[in-house]
Formats: sequence, structure tokens, C-alpha cells
Amino acid sequence: MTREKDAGAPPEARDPIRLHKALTRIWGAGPGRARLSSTNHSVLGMRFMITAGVFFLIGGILAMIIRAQLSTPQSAFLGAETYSQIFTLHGTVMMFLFAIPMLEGLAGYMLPKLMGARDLAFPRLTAFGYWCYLFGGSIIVLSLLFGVAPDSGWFMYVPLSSKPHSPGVNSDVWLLGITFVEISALTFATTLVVSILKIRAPGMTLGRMPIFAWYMLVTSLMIILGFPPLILGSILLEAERAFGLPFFDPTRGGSALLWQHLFWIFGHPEVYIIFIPAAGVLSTIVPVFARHPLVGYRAIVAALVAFGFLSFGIWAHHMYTTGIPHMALAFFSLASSLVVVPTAIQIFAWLATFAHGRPRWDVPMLYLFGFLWIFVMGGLTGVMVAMVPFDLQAHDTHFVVAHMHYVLVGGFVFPLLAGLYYWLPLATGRASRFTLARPGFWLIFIGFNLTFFMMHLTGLLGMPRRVFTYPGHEGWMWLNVLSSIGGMVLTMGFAVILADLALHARFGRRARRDPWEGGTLDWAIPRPPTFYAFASLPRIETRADRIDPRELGRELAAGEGYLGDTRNGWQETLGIHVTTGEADQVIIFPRQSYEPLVTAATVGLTVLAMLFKLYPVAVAGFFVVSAMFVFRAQSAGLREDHGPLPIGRGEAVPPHTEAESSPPLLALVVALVADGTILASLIYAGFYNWLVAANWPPPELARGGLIPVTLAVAALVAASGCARGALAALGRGGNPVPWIGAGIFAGLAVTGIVGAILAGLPDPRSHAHPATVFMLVGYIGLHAYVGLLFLVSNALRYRASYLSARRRLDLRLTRVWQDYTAVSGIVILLVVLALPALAPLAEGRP
Amino acid sequence: MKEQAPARLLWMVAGFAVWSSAFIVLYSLQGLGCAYGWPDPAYRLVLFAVLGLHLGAIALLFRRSRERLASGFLRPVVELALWAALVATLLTFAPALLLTACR
Repeated sequence: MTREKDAGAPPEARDPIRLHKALTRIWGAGPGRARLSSTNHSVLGMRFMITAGVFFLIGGILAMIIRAQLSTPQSAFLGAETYSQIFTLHGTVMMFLFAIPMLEGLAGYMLPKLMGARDLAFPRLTAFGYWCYLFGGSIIVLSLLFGVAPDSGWFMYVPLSSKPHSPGVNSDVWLLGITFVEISALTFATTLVVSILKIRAPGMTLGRMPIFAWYMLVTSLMIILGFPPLILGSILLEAERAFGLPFFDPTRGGSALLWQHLFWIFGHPEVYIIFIPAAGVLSTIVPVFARHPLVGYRAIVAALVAFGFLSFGIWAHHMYTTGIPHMALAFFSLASSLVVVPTAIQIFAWLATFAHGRPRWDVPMLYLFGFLWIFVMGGLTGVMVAMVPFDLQAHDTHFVVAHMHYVLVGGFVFPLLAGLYYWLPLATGRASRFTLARPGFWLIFIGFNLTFFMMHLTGLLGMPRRVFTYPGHEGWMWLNVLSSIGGMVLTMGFAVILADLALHARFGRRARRDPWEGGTLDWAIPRPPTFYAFASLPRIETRADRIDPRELGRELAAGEGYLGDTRNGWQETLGIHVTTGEADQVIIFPRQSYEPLVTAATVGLTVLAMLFKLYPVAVAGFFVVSAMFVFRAQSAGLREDHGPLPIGRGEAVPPHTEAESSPPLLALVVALVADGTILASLIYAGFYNWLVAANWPPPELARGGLIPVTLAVAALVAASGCARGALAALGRGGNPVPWIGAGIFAGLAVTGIVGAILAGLPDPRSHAHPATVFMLVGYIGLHAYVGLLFLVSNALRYRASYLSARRRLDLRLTRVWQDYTAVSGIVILLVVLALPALAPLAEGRP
Repeated sequence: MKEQAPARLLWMVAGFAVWSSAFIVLYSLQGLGCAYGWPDPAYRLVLFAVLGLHLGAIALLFRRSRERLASGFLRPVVELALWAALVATLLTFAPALLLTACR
């Protein structure tokens, strides 16, 4: 172990400049092309936000084309097919390529700074997520240039998006591209959950966390639970389109409504996933401009929990007109009404904060005012469409378009702009000039209301969504003209904001520390932020929005906090106990690398191969990506035991490789929650079709067979037992390789038995029942295969000295994976045995 | 240290986990009952019984949370979340169970 010059020196002898240079050497992203290898949260967060901003501009241009088309009746500007591609792409870009990545970028950029950490939990995974997002988004957007953009609406309803009605690759572009992009959302959400729970400044207990961290924790968990149903739905629909597995085809035991359920189980929480972080920005800003700590911190946290759950019980309020019985509709209608309450708690908390404080007016407040006005209007129309009788009238009209934009633009774009102007001095190191921020606001505010208020009226007059033209005698024309003029004004507003940002970057004066007197840790770091964020890490003794960043910033820059030295050229930050907030490990990050870029590019090529129906290439790509993940794992971690390492303030904690609660372990649990949600969605799909779909029972039942199922259970349990045996052997200081070898044998047995069960099934293209069983059994096979990758990696890393009696993290991860595979596999096999018994009951349905 | 175990965070979501369970079970039973034409009075009574069980589970969580959670940040947040879950369970399902089940 080597320590650099300042290590061990008394605080007064430390040189801040030397510390800064040493940290920059370790954390810096490198110049020019080397930037592509960066895994730093500031670089990646900014990259996410800029890329999302570019997609926002593309989505905005598409919106202007839509408004140009609808401004006059019987317009010859666009044909129906082009219009369908443009409105589908507008919604898709704004929801998937702008809103979610923008909030991820903001959270990734801000959270370590707000929580007193040097980086997010998994820098390479974050970089991999970014490249997946960029490549997936590019595939989707570039498809428009080739005239094959998705054209079935951003929610891809079947049967319109099914093969018989959309025979081109348009729908495939959406299904594959969005699934690719969602890898990014899931990896990022996992990273955020672990970062928030494990990587905070020592002393920052849960009750002292900055409120934005609570918002992002809830949002990330919602992504973990909300995105898997759509990923599963996309996989099933692509399997139907590419291979004929009829999950959504009513003529073969599938159901078109199943898609709507899977989509909206994702789609409604998605709205809150977009709103909640934006509300988190406001909860951070409001106390600063009210000059009073946030009122109702605990009530807000409880409201967020309620919000997170209630938002999942609302999905069918997008499906009121599909014939769902009154009782079930009422569940969804009442939950839709209840979700207003946690929203109101937040708004009242902000008002109370203003009431108790001494509010001051500045540009971020202007955008806050815009948010309140527009979002409350959107909320009120939300209550209207939550009522079944009203929704039956307004469904699929422009009223819903207006409501959605009031909620999303009011609830996301305005808070985002408030946050932009609030954090601009931090990000750029320059003080805001605000020359154009005010006219920009008024153009956006007036333009927005002119555009979308009119749509309430056209909607109430009966104008349906997604029509590319209208005859002109319905009384819609002047409202549409005004709407289109409003759209132009709105666009000018955003252009003014862009110009303001350019002026700010060019002419802004140097910003002083904490220009808003914010009281949070983000203002205690250098401006613009250095790659390492904090030269040393603070100890938090009070709520994290009540500190003095100016004084603390000077102390931290002088290396007077934790980790005020450099060591071995390691990128270090501290991990803490989730609830006590005490430091329990030094987290040592892997260095920047091109591997995330190369792996994401290979995944991208695999996706393109699937898009072009080059399935052998796609299969090869799958195996290459698997090998890359195993290869990547070979350079992570430490090759020797270190024991407790000094971290400053007289404390010492072990490196994360030797800690009991290492971040990767929590990340795997979180990832398995997402994985389990995919499985639950698949089982739901199977039972839904059994219960609701036509043409049941199937012509031939898919029986797994008692003997193969029993053998599969035995092999799964054996694989899990081997993982435990390997862990125990290593813990005793013994050799785990024999257990690993036995585990590989058991894993191969599982894949072999799964293959035999699949081969014995009826043709999965014949009916939804064998198709579902095919997917369920395939799920076991896939997990057994990934388990084999874990075991191969374990063996290689043991040989390379990355594992020891103290450094058992790899084998603990393998044990968790193998346990999950065994438990989920047994559940699946029970379902496979039960379905043939249940299937004939479908005959008894009235 | 047990007092501070990370798993105690799960108390924050316990109440709404019960709400979610009520949602899944009631929605599934409603679908099954309608698909197979279960007779109405008994069917509705079963639904109310399921709701009652879930409300009871939340009441139990109240009692247990007071026994197991020390004062501090977590306890008041858990209590607020439990109250919210109790009210949400009652309001989401009780009125709905009085409506027509299968039309």
C-alpha cells in the first residue's frame, strides 16, 4: 500500500492545492477521446442531461410539425402515414428519451453532491446505461429518416401494432429500441437506490438526508417495479411479431387487452416517476427562497411512500372504456382520486414553508409559480378524468391530450427550469445573468396555456386524438389555429432560454460559493464541480439542508474531513450503515474504462441484428455480451486483504471487498426485485389469458411432465447448495473450486432438463398456453445460464487471487443468484404443473 | 444494533404492502367470480371478509410498530404511512364492493 505525500500529515500541514492536484490525477476523465471512457457521475450526469435536451429539441420539432398539420382543416402538409410516425415519435421521444433520462441525469449529477459522496455506487454501470440510452434512442429517432419510425402511438396498442396490421419494422423499432433504452433506466435506478442507501456522508442518518434523496429513492424503486411489466410486454409482443407466439392474438387464446394492462401498469406510475423528482427539485428550492427549513419533512416522506404505492393502483383508469366491470372500475377510480392527497400534502408543505419564512423573489421562483399554476390545473382535470362517467365522454379526445400536457409540462418542465436556474451557478461556476430568463418564462407560460388550454375545448367539442386531419365544419378550426400559434410562442420561449444559456456560458461572471444561501452540501464543493466533488468528506450532525456550506466548504477543501488523503491511487468514497449513518467501509471504485462503451455498442449491434431478423448474429451477440460481462468482472476488486483502513478522524473501516454489507450485494437484491417483477408479470399474463381470453381451453395442453420437473427441481436445489458450499469453504480458508465445479455441473443439468422440457412442449405458436409455458421454462434456462456465468467468473477470480476468506463478496453474490434461481424455478415449475389442470376449467366460463 | 437493522426500513412500506395485497386479491377474486359466475351474496361476503382481514392486518401493524420501533425519525413516518394505508384501504375498496360486480 502506498500513501501520497500528505497522508498522515496533521490537518494544518495539508496543502489544499496539492490535494486537489492529487485527486484530479486520480479522478480526472482525461482529455479528448479519453473522455469516452469516463465513468464519473458529473460527466455522465451532464451527458445524460445534454442528450435528453437534444431529444427534447427533436421532440419539440415534431410537436411543431403536428401543430402545423392541425392548424387548418384538410391540410395537405402531411399524409396519414407520416403523421402517425411523427405523433408516435413525439410521444415516445418525450416520455422515454427526454423525461426519464433527464431526471436520471439530474439525479446522477446532483445526488452525490447533495449527500457528501464522491461518486455513485456503480460508475461503470452508469456509463453502460448512458451508452445504451444513446444508442437505443438513436435507433428510434433515426428510423424516422428511413421512413420506418414507430407509427402505432406511443403506447403501441395491439392489435394495431401486431404483425397483421403493422407488417413493417416500425413496431419492432419501438419494441426493441425502448427495451434497449430501458436497460439504462433499470441500471440507473439500481445505482441510485444503492447510492442513496449506502453512499452518504458519515452521520447522515435517514432523517438527515436531503429531501431530494427521499424523492429519488421512491422514484428509483418505482422504476424498479414499474418498468419490468413493460419490458416483459415488449418481449412478448416482439416474440409474437417475430416468431408467432400468440400472447395477444384472440384467435389463439391471447388477449389484446393484456397488452394494455402490461403497458399501463408501467405507464401510469411512469407519470409519477416523471413528476416526483421534479417535486423533489421544488422541495429543495422552496426552503431556500422561503428562507425557512422545509415544513413537514416527515409528512412528505410518508406522502412519498403513499404516492409510490397508490400510483400502481391506478393503471386501469386508462382503460375505463374497455368493458371492465363497475366494481373493478371503482377500485381504480377511487385510487385515482386518493392519489391527489399525497400531492396536496407536498403543495401544502411548500405553502407552509413560505408562510413561515421570509420569501424572496427570483427567477427560479418565477418557474415555481408557473409550475403551481399549470400543474394544479392539470391536477384538477386529472380528478375529472379519474371519474368514470366523465372519462367515458372525454376518452381519446384532445381533452386528455391537454390534461396530460398540463400535468407533465407543468409537473416536470417548469420545475426542471426552476432547478436549471437554481443550479446553473454550481454547474458552470458562473453567476446567472437572467437577462433573458424572464421573457423566456413568459413566452413559455403564455405559449403553453394558449396551446393546450384550447385542446380542452376541442376535446370537449369531440375532436379525437391521433387524427391527421378534420373536415373543418365542427367548430374546431379557430381553436386549432390558436393552439398552433401558442405552439410557436412556446417554441420561441425555449429558444430564448437556449440563448440565455449561451450568454450565461459566454459572459457570466464568476459565481461565489453558495450564491442562494442554500444550506445544502452541493454548495460546499468547488464551482464548477471537480471530478472528485469533495476533497474530503464531511461529517453531518444536523439535517442536511441546515448546514453552512461556506465554512464547511473551506474545511473540506483543506482535507479536514474524511478521506482527506489519497491512497494507492484509489478512487475512494465512504460507504455507511443504512440506518445509523456511520461509516462501515471504504468503497474503492474501478477506474475509468472503455468497456461500458464497447459492451453497450455490442448490445446495440445485437438489437440491430434482431431488428433486421439476423437471428444467428443476434444469438452470437448475446454470447459475446455475456463473455464481456465475465471479462469486465476480472479487473474489479482487490487482490489482497487489507483489514480496516484509516479514514480520518481516528476511524478505520475495511474496504468494501471485505465489508459485510457491500453495495453490490444490495444492488443484486434490487435487481432481483426487478427480475421477480418480470416473472410475476409473466405469470399474471398466463393467468389473465386463461381467465379472460377467448378460444380456451387450448387444443393441446403443455405438460411439463412430472419426472423432468422433479429432476429440474433437484438440479436447482443442488446448484443453490453448491453455491452455499463454496461460500462456506472459502470462509474456512479452504478451496471453493470443487464446489464451484459441482455448481457448474448442476447448472448444466438444469439447462439440459429445461431444454428437454421445452422440446417436449406443443408448438408454442399454436396457442397462448404453450407459448406462456415456453417463456416460463425459458426463464429458468436463462437464469441457470447466468448462474453459470457467475460460477465461471468465480473460478477465474479465485485463481487470480481476488477471493479470500475475508473477500467473499463474489461467492455471496453467486449464492443470492442461485437461491433466487432455485426459488423462482420451483415456483415456475409448480405453475407449469398447475396450468394444464386449470386450463380445462376455462370451458366453464359463462 | 438490531434496533438499527436496515430491514427496519421495510416498516415504512408495510402498510401499503397490505393495501397492495388487498388490491391484488380483491381484483383477482372479482375477476374469478365474474368469470365463473359465483353466486352474489356469498361472493360479496367473501370480498368483504378479505377486506376485513387486510384492515385487521394494518391494525396489527400499528400495534407491532409501537412495540418494535424506538422513537426517532422512523417511528412517526411509519405511523403516518400506516394511517395513510388504513384510510386508503378503506376508501379504495369499501365503497367499490357495494357496486355491481360483473357488469
